[in-house]
Order: sequence, then C-alpha cells, then structure tokens
Amino acid sequence: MPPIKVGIVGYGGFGRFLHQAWETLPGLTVTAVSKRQLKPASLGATKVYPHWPDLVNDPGIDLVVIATPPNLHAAIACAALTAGKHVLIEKPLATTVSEAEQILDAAKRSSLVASVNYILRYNPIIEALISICHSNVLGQLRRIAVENYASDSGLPLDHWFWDQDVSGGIFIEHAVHFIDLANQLTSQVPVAISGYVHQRNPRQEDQVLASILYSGGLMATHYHHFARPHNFEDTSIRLSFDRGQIDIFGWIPLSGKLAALGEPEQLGPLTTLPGFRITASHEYLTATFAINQPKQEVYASCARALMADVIKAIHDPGHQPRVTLEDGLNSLITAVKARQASRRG
Amino acid sequence: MSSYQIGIIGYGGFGQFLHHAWQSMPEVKVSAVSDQNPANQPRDDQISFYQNWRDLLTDAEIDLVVVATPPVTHAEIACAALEAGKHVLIEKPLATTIADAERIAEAQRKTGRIAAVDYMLRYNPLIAVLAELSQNKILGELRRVVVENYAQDEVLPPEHWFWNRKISGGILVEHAVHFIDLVHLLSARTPQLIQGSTHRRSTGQEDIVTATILYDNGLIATHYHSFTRPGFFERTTIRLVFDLGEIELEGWTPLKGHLRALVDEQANDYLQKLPGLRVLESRKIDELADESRPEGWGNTSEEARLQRQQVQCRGITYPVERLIIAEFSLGSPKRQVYAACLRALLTDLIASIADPSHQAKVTLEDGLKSLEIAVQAVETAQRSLQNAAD
Repeated sequence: MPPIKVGIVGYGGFGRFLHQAWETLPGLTVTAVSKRQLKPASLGATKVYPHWPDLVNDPGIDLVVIATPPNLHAAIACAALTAGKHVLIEKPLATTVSEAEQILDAAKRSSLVASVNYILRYNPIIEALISICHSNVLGQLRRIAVENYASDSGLPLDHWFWDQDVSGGIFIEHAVHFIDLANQLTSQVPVAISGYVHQRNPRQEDQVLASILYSGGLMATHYHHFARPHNFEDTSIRLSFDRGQIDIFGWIPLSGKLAALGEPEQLGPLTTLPGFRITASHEYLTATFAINQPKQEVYASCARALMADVIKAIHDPGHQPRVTLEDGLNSLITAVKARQASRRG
Repeated sequence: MSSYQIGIIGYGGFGQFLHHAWQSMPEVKVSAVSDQNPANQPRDDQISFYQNWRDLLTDAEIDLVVVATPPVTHAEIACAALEAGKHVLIEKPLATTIADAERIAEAQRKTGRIAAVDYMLRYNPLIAVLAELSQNKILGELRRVVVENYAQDEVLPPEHWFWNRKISGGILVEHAVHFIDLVHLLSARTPQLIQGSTHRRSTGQEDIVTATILYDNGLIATHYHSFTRPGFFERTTIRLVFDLGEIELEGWTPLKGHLRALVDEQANDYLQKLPGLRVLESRKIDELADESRPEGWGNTSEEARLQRQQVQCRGITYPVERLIIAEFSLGSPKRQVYAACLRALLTDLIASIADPSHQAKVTLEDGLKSLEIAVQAVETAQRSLQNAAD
C-alpha cells in the first residue's frame, strides 16, 4: 500500500513534535506543512504553504492534521473534509459546540476518517485502566480526582493560550483531555456540572476547576493550574472504587500505585497494568506499576499509536479509530458547561 | 492547684473517649456525665450520672460542660449550660443550622462564659507546623487544598443518627466542617463561591458528598467525603499545594505525610520543624531537567533557561536553591495522637477560663464560619440535584 500523504496545518511546537514522532512510523509521509510565517522551501522536500487553504486543496494530500490554535479547527476541518481529505484534529475539537457540530455534519456527509488527538487513550496505563473500570474488578468507580499543576514557562503573556477567544480557555483547551478520559472510564453521564476560575491578572485565567456529578453518583473533579516553572510540574489522577483506589502520576501517565480489596488471584485485570508489581498483601493488596520509559518517548509512542490507528481506518473502512468525533464533542460539551458555570458564579 | 470539674453530656462512644483522653490530666476531673441511655452509666460511682442533661447543669460543682450529643441538640444544651453559668466545649459541628449557632454565640456574649468548638485538628502537631508555614508563606501562596476522605461505615448501621440529616446535618455539616475549618486556619480568606454535591446509596443514606470553595485570593478547596469502607481500608489524604510545593498529609487525624518543594535556605530551615522529617532527595534547581515539553517541540523558552537561583510561579518571582523531596511522621499511633490533641485542646480552653486575655487556638467564631460554608454547600447540592431532576 502506498504511504498516506499527510499535511500538517499549524507547525508550531506541537506540529513539529508530531512530525518528529511520526518520522519513524511506516505507512505515512509528511509531504506538506502550513504555517503563516514559514518561508517556502525552508523544510527541504516537505512543502511549506503559508496559507492553509492551499495545503487543504493540495491534491497530493490524503490526511490533514490540524494543529493550529483551537478557534481555527472547525474552519480548517470542514474545508479539509469538503476537499475530500481525512482529518486528525488536535484537541479541542473546536472552541464552541456549534462549530464542533459543523465538523460532525461535514464528516457525516463524507465517508472520510475523522478523529481527535486524545493522545492519552493510547497510553498503556490508560488502556489498562479503562478495561479495569469496565471489568468491575474493584466494584463501582466512585471518584475521579485530576490534579494538574502545569508549567507556564512556555506561555508568555502574549501567547494565544491565554486568549480565550482563540483557545477557549483552560477548560476547553486542556481539561477536555481528562474529561474525555473520565467519559471512557464510566458509562454514566454527567448530570450536574460546576466550574470555578481564578485570574492571575485580567488576561491570564490560570486556574480552573470543573466538578462533575455523573448519573450513577460518580463524582469527578478536574483541577488545572498553569503557573509552575518548567521543572516543577505535577499531575496526579486518583480513581476510587468501592473496593480499591488507583493513583496515577504524570500528565502523560508513567507510573502509579493501587490498593485493592480481594485475593490476588481475583485481581486479573489489574495485572494488565504495565510493570505491575505487588508490594504487599495483608488485609488488602497494594501494588505499583510503571512504564519504564522517559516521558518524551511515551508521549511520542502514543502519537504514533494514534496515527497508526487513523491510517488503519483509512485503509480499512470496517475499522473505526479509537477516538471518534462524538468523543470530541461530548467532552467539549462538558467543558463548555463548566466554563459557563464558572461565569455564573 | 484547684482542679476543674467537667460534666460530659452525651456519653456514647465519643463522650467516653474524651473522658479516657482526659483521665491523665491532673488539673481536670470528669465528675458527672449524662446520657439518655442508662446502659452508658460509668461504673465509677465517684462520677454522678444523670439521664436528663438538665440535671447535670444544676450541679454547682461543674465548671465546664462538654456537649457530645448528636448535633441537632447542641444549641439547646450549650445555651442552657452557658445560662447556668458553665463554660462549654461543643463537639463539632457547633450546630446544624446557622440560627442555632448564632443562638450559642448570643448566649456566650450575654453570659461572658468561655465557649469553644472541638476542632481538635488544630491541636495536631503536624497541622500546627503547617498552619504557621502557610500563614507565613514559607512556600509562597497556598493555591489549593484537596481533602479526600474515604471513611468507614462499619459502625454506622442504617438506623444510626449519623444518616439522619435532621439530627446530624448530613456529612457536610457533621464531618466536613473539620476540614473546612482547617482551610480557614491555613488561610483566613473569604469564600466567594461554594458548591456542594451529594449522592445517596439509598433513600436513607447520603454517603458521598463534595464541597468546592473558591476563596477571594484564588485558593480553591475541594472536600470529598465518602462513608463507605470497612475500617481497615479507610484512607484520608489532605493535599496542600503552594506556589513552591505540595504537602500531602495522610490519615484523617494526620499522622504522617510527604512533600516536594522548591526551597531557599530559610524555607529549608523551616521545614526542619516538621516532626520526624526525613529528606529523601535534595537537588540544586539548575540540575533539574525541563520535562514540560517533549523533544521536537522547540527550544526551552529563554525565560526558562535564564532561571538559576529563582523561579516564577504564577508570575511571582521566588528565590529558590533546591528541590527537596521529604517525608515526615509523628511516629505515634492514631489513638495516642488523637487523645493528645484532645488534651491540648482542653489545656487551651482551661487557660482561657483562667485568663480571659489568653488567645485560644479555636473560637466559637471558627465554628460558626465553617458551619456557614457547610450549610451553603448543602443548600447548593440540593439545588443542583433539583436542577438535574427538572
């Protein structure tokens, strides 16, 4: 099969990272990128388009990857789908629900592959957690607590990240990753959503919290704070069940620990966690797990797994990528509601 | 030394534990107890026993009345005790409604007696160090408090008053107030936005609650309480996140914890006050790698590379030298720590009785403030359930 020809729209830090991650992946070539300030011919054999519509309409391109600031996603995705291209859209799907719905409509009218870059779903720890949650091995999932202290070292005051018209704000630009994760861990649906924000100054709303009550009583808290120096980030996600709890560490999860009630032989699904190791087993069992690779490698291999999944769907109409546009829409709806709730308060 | 005579009203499990904890204190004597249930009469016949609490209040020997009854009865008993000329120590929550709590405050003002609420966490030696650390901004601003409390329900059968909101006020009022008060101790700020949520296991048992509180300086506190576990599988963590680090306490009566912090010399010295501190890792900040952006992303920002002996947190520049990872521990079992807190609280209260200018660590006002937040969390939780149902 000929390689899928990929065009990346938006060639900032994240676009460059994706390009580098995919260089070792068979089955695709990045043939073009688009960025306004970039000079043509500055990337050797890779074409450079200063204007994205030219990339989207390049007949040589099969798949358009959209890595621009969020408020441009919908226009580019709809244009690409209309031009007959498959699309992979960086999260968030869009900054408004109506724009996200336009993308879903455009995709429905075509038979093209469309997916959202929810990279966490391809992390081996997350993969195991999703099946643990659905296996009921620890009983009902009662609690999800995301605590994410991120760096703002690469986010100066004039960065688009802080401009809510461009990014949608932290709920929409960033929390959607973890809201989508929560949606995958449970079959319950959100019934009450509250949101809280704090501004460092009138331009920088750097602290947000969403609290979500699900239909079966699951309570999720998502706290995100972009205020740390680059070498002092901290992220943890705690899942509590009737019969156990699991803590995972790192925004790209790399390790974790758990406590579980039950006999070791009954805990089958837990042992699918990478590097699973029982540390104690008395009144209850405790264990640790870890992916023994540096963060950057794990991040890049998630990006490769996601792209391989999209490529498989392009070749095989019977295969659906793990992340659907509906997933992108559902998580966006919750993020938008949290943001609205934070404004009412 | 004259000993203070104490009367305990409500001599169930907690009342008996208070008595036990105070037995080693020569300056006090529990001389009377009251309980509706005659089976709770102490074996010691030196101790007067009253089935009706009002009879205990007529006992002229008693200086201090401890109210350890179910919460809905606190106000009536506390007011009557104050009016009978007694000092009072009221088990948390102060009351189940603001109106009741204000009645107690009013009775206290009228009688001029000492009245305090049993927020014994304030007397835990770990909390005492951390409160001072927070108030003095040793690790910069406090940005976040996360209480995750998975408690046992083994001794709380469905018919226990704990589950009856009319009697206990519900978990937010009966229990979360401890931790709401703790946040107030760490950072005396004004709440701006309060939202609660609740879930019921069955019609009678509302066993999971949360409250999130945004304070005026941007501090956000989340309180999660679930009473669903077997006793041996309880787990409580209290995480405090400052600009320059995070500290996590373990145990609902905190017994130990761990921390990760960026420190200068002064902060490093301060951390030595933490009982049983053991440093696991200490590295100069210029040895720390930038892990915030993966390879291929582009250069680390100029700003980040220039950082050597200082960091920017939330736009504030802090001088720091090292990253410290450490753990700390009181090194005593929970019951001992708990009992020591109760003794310290009583000692503090007695000091207030002896010397009206003594500043006690916990005041009636503290009980009222935390109750106000808890009551609002209950109200907002009910509204949001209502909205969800509509």
